Amino acid sequence: MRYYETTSFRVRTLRHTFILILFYHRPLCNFDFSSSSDLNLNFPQIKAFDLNPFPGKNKSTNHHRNLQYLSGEEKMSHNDTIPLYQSSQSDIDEIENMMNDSFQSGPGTVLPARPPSPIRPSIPVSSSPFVQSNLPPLPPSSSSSTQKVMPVPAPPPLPSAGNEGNKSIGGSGFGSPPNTLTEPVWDTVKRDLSRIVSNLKLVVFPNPYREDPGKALRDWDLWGPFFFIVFLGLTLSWSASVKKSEVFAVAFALLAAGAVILTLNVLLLGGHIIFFQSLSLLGYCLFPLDVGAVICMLKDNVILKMVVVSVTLAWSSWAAYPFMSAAVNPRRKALALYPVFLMYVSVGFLIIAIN
Amino acid sequence: MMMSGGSYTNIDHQKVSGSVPAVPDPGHVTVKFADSNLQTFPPSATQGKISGGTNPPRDADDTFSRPVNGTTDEPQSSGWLHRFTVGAYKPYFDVDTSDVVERLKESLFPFRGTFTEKTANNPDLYGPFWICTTLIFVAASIGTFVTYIAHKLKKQEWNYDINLVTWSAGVFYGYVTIVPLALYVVLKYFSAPSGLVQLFCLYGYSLFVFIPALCLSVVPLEIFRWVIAGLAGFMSATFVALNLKAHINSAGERWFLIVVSIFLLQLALSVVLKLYLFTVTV
Repeated sequence: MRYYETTSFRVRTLRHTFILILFYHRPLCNFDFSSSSDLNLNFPQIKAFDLNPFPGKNKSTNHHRNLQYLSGEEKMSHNDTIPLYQSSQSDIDEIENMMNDSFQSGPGTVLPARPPSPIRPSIPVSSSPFVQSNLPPLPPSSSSSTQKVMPVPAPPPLPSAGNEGNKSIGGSGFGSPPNTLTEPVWDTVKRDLSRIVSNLKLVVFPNPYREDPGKALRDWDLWGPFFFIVFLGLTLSWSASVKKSEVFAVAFALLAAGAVILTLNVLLLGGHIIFFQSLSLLGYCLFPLDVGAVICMLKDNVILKMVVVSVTLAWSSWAAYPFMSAAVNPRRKALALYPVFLMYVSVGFLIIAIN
Repeated sequence: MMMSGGSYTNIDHQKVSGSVPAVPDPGHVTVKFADSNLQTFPPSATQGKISGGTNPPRDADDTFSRPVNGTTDEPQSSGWLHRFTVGAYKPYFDVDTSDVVERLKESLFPFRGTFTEKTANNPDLYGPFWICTTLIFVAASIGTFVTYIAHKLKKQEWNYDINLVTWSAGVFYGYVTIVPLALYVVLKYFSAPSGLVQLFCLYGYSLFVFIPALCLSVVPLEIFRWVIAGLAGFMSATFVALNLKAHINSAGERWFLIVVSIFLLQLALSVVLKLYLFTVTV
């Protein structure tokens, strides 16, 4: 039993080695199924045998194997004579293949017989060409990667240079604002208040620049007018006994819309004034009337009210006269001045009437 | 078996052919260089935009010198947006002080009927607007004064009625705006068209007579007030009627109805003013 088992093992391993060798040496033969082609292909194998560098060693190994086969079966020995030459071509390959076969076909040796054995050798044959195919594409991929790296540094320097230039220009543009931004709020408020006071002096009080609007109110603003309008509206609203909100609304509308309408009137008459400068001046001219309103709120005498309002009304009109008269054609001076006078009279009347 | 082996071999051939594209790789590289060349243009354009933005804003030259007395023709833009510019209405304010004064005098003498002829060339809107504005103030102030005096005489508390201002504004601005528009439509319907601005001008100046009438109504005599109201109404109505009669005389038989309607409407305004402003409710 033991002898039989060992012999069967040896025979199977030898057959697997034989089949593997055939496929390894001739992968193209798989496509040809004609017998004539098989016979033709046998000849190059013989030539390869002749080319072997170590003929002596090969002969010795061949002799040992021949003896084994002769002791087995006559038919098998006749068939194996041709493959013996083929196997002798590469002894080292045989050893390697035997080792591989022993690992791979371990379970196979037990299960199948002759038919399933040829199926398995095809799989390892296909693996080797995959490995070979990996080598050639590597160089072109590496070359392409190196070439791709080249254009990468080109675009960055241009936009970076542009950005730097822009930043430098922007930095120069913001030279002075940071000084103003970093100042205390009180300094800002104080500067604005001082400007309002200086403009008020130029408009309401006598000064040599009254005749020239450009010099009188060069640094015009809208804080002063807004303050005086709201202040007058609030004063009238506080002094009113009934309908306080309506009084404030009418007073504010009269003053705000009035200034706009007066400015448009001058523009329509062909005058040349700056729109907001005109609004600013008319607002500053309300200062005397504001003072009159405060006095009338404190005192409730009608006669006193009339006197105070008359004085402040004349003062406001006097303040507005040079600006408006200089803005229009002398032939239309009265047309421009009358509406201003009418507005101030209306305000004065409200101050007297509201109690 | 063999077929599967063949498929494996075919895959090998495909991989071998895969190595062939290595040849056109230099072509791709050249294309990429072209892309890098293209990228040089957008940055320059961007720089231009950014540099433009970074330029300090140029302020308009604010000339504070005295205005030029000579008239300067402002360029007028065409289109419907033109109506929203100040220049569009300048022709209607192209009057001098002497012109306005003359027209005011004309409105005080209603029996001439020559106002329309004199203002046909350059009707203005200055008079109508500021006459209405003056009327609003005078009406409110006179009405307040009258009620104040009445309350004082009877020793009762008096409070200022701010609504007089809003009411007066509604009456006068509404009358001078709506009535000429309606008349404009009617005249166009009867094939006797008239300029709309001219109608505004006519009605605006016709109300001028009410300013002295309201001032005279301060007198606390009820009969005197009715006389003043009637007289002012009659003068105003006659002024409008005669001037329109001269214009629409060619409208056929219907001109009489139009003129009578205008006359009565003007009288109605006078009555309304009298009743609301000078009816003292103590």
